[in-house]
Amino acid sequence: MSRPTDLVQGTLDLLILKTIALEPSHGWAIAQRIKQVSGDNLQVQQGSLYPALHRLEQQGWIAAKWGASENGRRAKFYALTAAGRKQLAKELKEWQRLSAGIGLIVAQM
Amino acid sequence: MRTARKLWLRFRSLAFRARVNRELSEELAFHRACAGEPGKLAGSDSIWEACHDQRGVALIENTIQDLRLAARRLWASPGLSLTATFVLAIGIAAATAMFALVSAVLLRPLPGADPASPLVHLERVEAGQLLGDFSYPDALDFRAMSHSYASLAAFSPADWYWHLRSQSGEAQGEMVSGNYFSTLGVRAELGRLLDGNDESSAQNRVVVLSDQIWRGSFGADPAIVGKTVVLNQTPMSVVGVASAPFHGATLTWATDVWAPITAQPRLMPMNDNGSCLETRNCGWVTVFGRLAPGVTVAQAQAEARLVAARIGEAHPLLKSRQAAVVAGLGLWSDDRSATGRFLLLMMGGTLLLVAMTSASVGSLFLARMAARQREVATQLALGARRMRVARQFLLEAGIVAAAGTLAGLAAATPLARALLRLEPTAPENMVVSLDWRITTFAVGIAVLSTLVMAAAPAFLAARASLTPGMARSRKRHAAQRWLLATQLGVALLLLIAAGLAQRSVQLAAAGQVPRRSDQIVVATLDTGRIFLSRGDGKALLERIRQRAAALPGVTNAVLASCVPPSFCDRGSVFVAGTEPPPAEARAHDFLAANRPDINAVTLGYFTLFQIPLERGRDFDAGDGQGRPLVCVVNQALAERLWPHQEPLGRQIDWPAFDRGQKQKSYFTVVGVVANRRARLMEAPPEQMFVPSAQTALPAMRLALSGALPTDRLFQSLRAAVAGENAALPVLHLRSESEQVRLTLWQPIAIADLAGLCGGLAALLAAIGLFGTLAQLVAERRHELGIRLALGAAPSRLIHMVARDAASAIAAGLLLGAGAAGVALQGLRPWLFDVHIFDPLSWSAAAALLAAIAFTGSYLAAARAASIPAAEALRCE
Repeated sequence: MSRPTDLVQGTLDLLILKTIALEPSHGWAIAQRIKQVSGDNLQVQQGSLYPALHRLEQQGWIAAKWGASENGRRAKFYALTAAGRKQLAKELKEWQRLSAGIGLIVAQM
Repeated sequence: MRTARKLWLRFRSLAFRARVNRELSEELAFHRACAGEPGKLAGSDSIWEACHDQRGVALIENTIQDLRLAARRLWASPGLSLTATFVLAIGIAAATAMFALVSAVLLRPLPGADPASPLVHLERVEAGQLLGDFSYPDALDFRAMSHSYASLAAFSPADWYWHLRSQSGEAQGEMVSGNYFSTLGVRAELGRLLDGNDESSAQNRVVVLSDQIWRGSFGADPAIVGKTVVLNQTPMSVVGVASAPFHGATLTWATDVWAPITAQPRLMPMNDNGSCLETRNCGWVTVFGRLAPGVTVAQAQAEARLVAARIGEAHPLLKSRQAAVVAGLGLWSDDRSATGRFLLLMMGGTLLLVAMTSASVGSLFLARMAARQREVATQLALGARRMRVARQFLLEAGIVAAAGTLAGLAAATPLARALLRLEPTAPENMVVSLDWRITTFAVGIAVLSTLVMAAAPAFLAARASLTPGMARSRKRHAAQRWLLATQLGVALLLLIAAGLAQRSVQLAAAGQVPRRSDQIVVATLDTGRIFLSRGDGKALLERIRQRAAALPGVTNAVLASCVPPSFCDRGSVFVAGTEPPPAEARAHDFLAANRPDINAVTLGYFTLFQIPLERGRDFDAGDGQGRPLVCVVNQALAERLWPHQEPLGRQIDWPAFDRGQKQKSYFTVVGVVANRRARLMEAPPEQMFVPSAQTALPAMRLALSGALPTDRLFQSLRAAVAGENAALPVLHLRSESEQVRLTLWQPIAIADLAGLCGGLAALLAAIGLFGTLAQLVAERRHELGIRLALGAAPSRLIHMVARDAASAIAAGLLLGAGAAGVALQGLRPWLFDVHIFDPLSWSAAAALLAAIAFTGSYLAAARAASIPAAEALRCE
């Protein structure tokens, strides 16, 4: 499996949290939405997505629940918990700080 | 909330592993279906693994896996596993039982008493000597003048014959102050306990029974309250039963009956007129109390000093009387420290046994590791982490230790009760059950022994190389040799201790009781108990003695105020003419030194107890009342009073004999007898014998000897007493050998326990040694086979293998000898006429072990030499 666009370390968590903040989704939908919203620039591989989801669940930031998907099949839906909401805010702030810093460096050179 | 969720998830991952895994597979399958990639993709296993790892339970899962593996391995060699568990269980049970006793005697509060606030007791100290008990007026003064206590109570031990209708029996009792039960915080199981009214009123004919006697002797009669028990011919009404675990204010024996202390003149007549309630010359009352809130022992001590001084001002004869306030209740401070030393010594012995069992199980494990070298190398080659391999050995040892601990804990309580029986006067219901201290102790031992057992194999496994080579097995062999040497060393130490203790007990018993064909039985007869005057009492005792002497089979009957090896009253005596003025002479009565045992005896005493007369004459019929006072001294006393001089015809002053009389009288020495050790470890005491005809004591010991079984002699003694006065109680009726057992119980217990530990240790050493050698030989099968094939003589091979073990054996014996030289110093206070470097005990122990060791190694070697060469070569 090729990984054309390696995500910056730690940003995958942010992307997942941000994506399911809108509505609870299953793994496939999360990957699709990230791909769609980023204009096909970001592709999340299965091998990164599911371990990340399980890690976030283990941290207590997201909670999983089985439900029916749009095609009628059973799927595992992930939703943000209260702790996850706080974590999202924290990671957003961190990201803005990081990207602003990188932006400044790139602009000056 | 988040923590709870995390815990739940972890728990779910562990407990419902199959379901969680199924869900994971389903989730991934759904993804692939959506992506239009049905079926299994390359790499999906690693995704699955990665998700699984994120669950954070890998460590626990691995441990469970390892535990299963360890259990399976142990199961694969059940003989070894069971032996190891059994051996360890013995060690842990022994150490835990011993600790339970230490805890019961030294750490726990008095059973049945309220543990809320600390109890203290007062010890009477006179001229620096611990004398223990106070007089009743002293106790009342302390109660009235002290402010350090929430309450201050008093009691005095007693022994009685009780009668209830047709039943009767012996009972230990306590005569107690009215606030005794409330001070201790004991509750009534039935009826009521004693209170202040019972102490003060003239209606003090009431008793409280212990739960034990109520159940044991009165069949737990629910209507016992109100019934009448006769104690010492005095009807006493039962008012209640004390609740179960309480067995009196003395830890080491059980009290059955409590009566008000003011009933003493009826229940336990002492002194000339029977009563000890008014005089300050009877020392019979133990004073104890509960400190008032916020008061320290030091503050109470300071106050006790003042109170003692005020009593001394009012009564100048008691000026030297002091009170020491001691924390705790149940044992005198010197008993507590002696018992503590004794129990700690026993404990040290059993801990050594545990160390020994761990070492021997450890060496078995190490031997087994040889067989697994290939397996460990394979695991490492396949990428197992070293710590994980080492952990397997720890887990195996841990399982054995856990099983051993459980079995040991289960056996500990019965074993502790059995050990308690080694102390002849210990109460039946002494609390030796398991508590948190004991369980913690046992678990601690288990953890330590796991480490000892697994340390060497785990360490070697962690450092094992992929190709098991000579260097590694040499390391393992070194570890095996050390374990072997340790085992032999500990076994040697325990065997020497066993030998010393055994010899000591033999010598002690022989020192007190010469070999003879006749049996001797002894009882205490106290004519004061039946309210006789001194003159009448003396006449009665003499009639009983004569009646007993005339009974068939009885060869001799004597009366004496004390009989070895039990304690004698001591008194200060002086060479006539050198005695100090009366007040000063009284102070001498409390000195430790220079106070001989004073024993009033009838004719025939020296014959019956086989004490040789060295010079002069025995008492005879002419030494009666109104005749010149005479005495016989032993060599020790003669040597002190008249060093290197002729003692016969000299005169002795015994101030206590005629204190308060106008006429001064002296005892003329008419004979000298050999020294006889009367008590346990002390040097033979100084002794002075006076004819009982010239003194008058209400209580005497009656000794009968005869060529009859002791049972028949007991009957004769009882018959002689009953024939003269059926009301006179026969107290402390024992055979001489029972008496010896009572005085020597500590050394006997040490000898028994050391013998047991030593025997077990020798057995374990033999098991460990044989196992280790058999395995060493098995490892060298190949090499030995080649040697045989090349023409080596079998005897040479045997020699070669045995020599290999010899160095370990020698090192172990040296190690053990060194350790014994140091550790056995602790045994010294209990050794009697035996030096700790007693050559016989040492050489016997060393010879026994060396014999075991060399037999073991030759057997193992011979087995190696008997293998046909071809088979040995083929067996790879």
